[in-house]
Amino acid sequence: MFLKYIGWLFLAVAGAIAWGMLALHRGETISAAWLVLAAVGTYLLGYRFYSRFLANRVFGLNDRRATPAERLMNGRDFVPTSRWVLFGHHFAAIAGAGPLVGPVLAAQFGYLPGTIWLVFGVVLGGAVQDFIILFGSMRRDGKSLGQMAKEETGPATGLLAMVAVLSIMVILLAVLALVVVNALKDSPWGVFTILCTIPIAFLMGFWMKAWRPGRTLEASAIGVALLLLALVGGRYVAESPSLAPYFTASGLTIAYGIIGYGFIASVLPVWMLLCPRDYLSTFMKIGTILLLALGILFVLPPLKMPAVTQFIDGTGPVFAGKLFPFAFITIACGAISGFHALVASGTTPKMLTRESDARLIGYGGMLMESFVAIMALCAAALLDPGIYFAINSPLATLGGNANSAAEVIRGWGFTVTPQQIEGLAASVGEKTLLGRTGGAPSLAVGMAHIFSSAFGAGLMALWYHFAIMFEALFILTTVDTGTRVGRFMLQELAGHIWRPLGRTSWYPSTVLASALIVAGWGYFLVQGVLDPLGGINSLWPLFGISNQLLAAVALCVGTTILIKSGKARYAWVTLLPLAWLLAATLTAGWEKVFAEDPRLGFLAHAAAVGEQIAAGTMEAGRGARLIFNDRLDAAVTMVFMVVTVLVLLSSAREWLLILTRRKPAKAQESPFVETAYAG
Amino acid sequence: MRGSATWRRILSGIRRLAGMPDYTVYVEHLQRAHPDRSIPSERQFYEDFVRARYGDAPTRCC
Repeated sequence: MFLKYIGWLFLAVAGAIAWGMLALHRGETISAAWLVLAAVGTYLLGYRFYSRFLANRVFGLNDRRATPAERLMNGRDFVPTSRWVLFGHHFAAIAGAGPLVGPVLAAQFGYLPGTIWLVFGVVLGGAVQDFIILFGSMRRDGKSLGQMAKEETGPATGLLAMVAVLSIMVILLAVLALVVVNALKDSPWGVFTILCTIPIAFLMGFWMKAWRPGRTLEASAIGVALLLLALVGGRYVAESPSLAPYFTASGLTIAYGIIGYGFIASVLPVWMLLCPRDYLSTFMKIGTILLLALGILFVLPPLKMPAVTQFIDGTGPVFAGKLFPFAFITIACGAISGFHALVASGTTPKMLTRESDARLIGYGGMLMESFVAIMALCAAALLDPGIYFAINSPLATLGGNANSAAEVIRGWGFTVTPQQIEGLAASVGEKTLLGRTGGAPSLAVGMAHIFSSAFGAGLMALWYHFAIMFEALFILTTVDTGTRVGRFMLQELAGHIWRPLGRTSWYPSTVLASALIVAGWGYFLVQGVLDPLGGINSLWPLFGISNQLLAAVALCVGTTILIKSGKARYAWVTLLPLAWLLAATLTAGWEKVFAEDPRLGFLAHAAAVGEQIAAGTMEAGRGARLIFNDRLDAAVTMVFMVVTVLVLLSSAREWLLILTRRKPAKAQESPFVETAYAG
Repeated sequence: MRGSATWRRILSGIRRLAGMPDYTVYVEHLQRAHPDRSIPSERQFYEDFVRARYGDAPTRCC
């Protein structure tokens, strides 16, 4: 009995020592090994003990109960799938740019706050959310989050959840597109490579549809090979004085390009562009993340970022706001991400072979995403802090050139020389890296550093552009699929008002709904590009707040499921993360709207711009637009907060009714059917 | 058929990573559960899948 646990005890001690090293270490650099050990040790313990408790005691997973994949098997979406294949599929569906960007931005507080939140947030919050929603959906024939909210809590809640999802989608697409814009502006190499992905996707699409039907792997292999060719070709284009100007574009041009692309992709048949892109980015994503994990474990780079920086007081250049609450909304994906509730109640529950597989896929899949976020954090923290801030601070703060930037950054107490800044840009094949906010470029520099140390030096520029391509590839895939999903949701909502608008096969309705969705995120994107502080400053917190509030909605639904299935005594497993999430996110939302510091509060910023106009230091037309955008951002934040509080109240009412026995505790599960599988 | 059974299973697993269901599994299912229905061609199967897959629910996160 004791011997069985001795290995786990050993792991717990090793993890504790690693946490101690991280927390107590001051000055000098520290090896990433400690960070990886602390994280992985905690994940393993969380998986072994907490997820087992959830699976057996709280949810009562039962392998004698047939899953939807078995009962409703149709060979297409309902298919019993081997657990490791499904794990990979689910992981590829949940992990995207979110866990890569958030931790890089939050590194302005130092590596420690982000690490603590990522690791403990996921074990006690994010993985629990994914697991319970996957469990709930599995017991309900694979129903979506919105349908579960409607059936368990009432139609009004279902509608609110749907509105919340749609608005989050708009903000998400805008901010992700902005990350791509900031990585590609004035970068002919990057622009050329990314442009090439469009004809490559077309080629793959026709290959799979017309020439060699269903031969997805063949087409994907060709796609990946052409993509690598495009990457190498990009260098030639960037170095050619005659070609480079054609592929050098300003942020605004690229933004309009992405908006146009998003619209076309959303109205074209899926097999042409969207489906091949999806394959390409799935395989690239899994491959690159495995490569990154290998690289980090092999190199174990020293982390040069301090454990905690002075910017926890809210004066940081990357984004405004203090450690609490802003670390907890800047890092959403990787710790807890509401968006996963949509994926965990989508294709995955229809493919589970056994109920107990939900533990590995729901809980374990999210731990894996958290580990990706930890790797991103390592990649940001291994840079010299001076370099990190040179890349991630807005150009307006840095004063526009390497000399002024070095001056400003030295003022913050980090040493960096103009030569270092310029030398780094040259080594990755870019004219400048200053003020490339959004996280992707500094992550790419970190990844290039790891890859070139692990797999041979001298290819820094190629690795940098490989990393940029990898990120832009799946962000643009999210833009495609997200616009399409948003369009379907809008059509469904509009169908309540006028029937024909709800018909997704009616072409005018499709075009109209697509245009509206694209206009929605396109507006926020252009606003971000024109923002003097770079846009990430205001849009990323907005995204974080919306994603966390969606997680709160999902945890409300999860709690309702628990209480309705007579497990009220275990409701703390969802109520605990819910309470923390609401405290952090509602505080953040409130501060973003009402804080008196114009760097932080939208309304205070609007007032400050008003004063600048009155004083004549700001042109009136431009000022009026900034004021309108501030008020719009404030209104959107308020809407998110109100919707969440309404969902919370209607759920709490339901909980009380059941707990006081005025309503029977009866969950809407599908009836038990004995499995036909042996063993 | 193409290659050995093991190789086919590996390829099918990789395809399913990206969400693509297996044609032979589908055909076996049809023959067993619905022997009265006609079996679609691989091309038809692929087209139906693509249409159903990118429907109204989010399949990807951020």
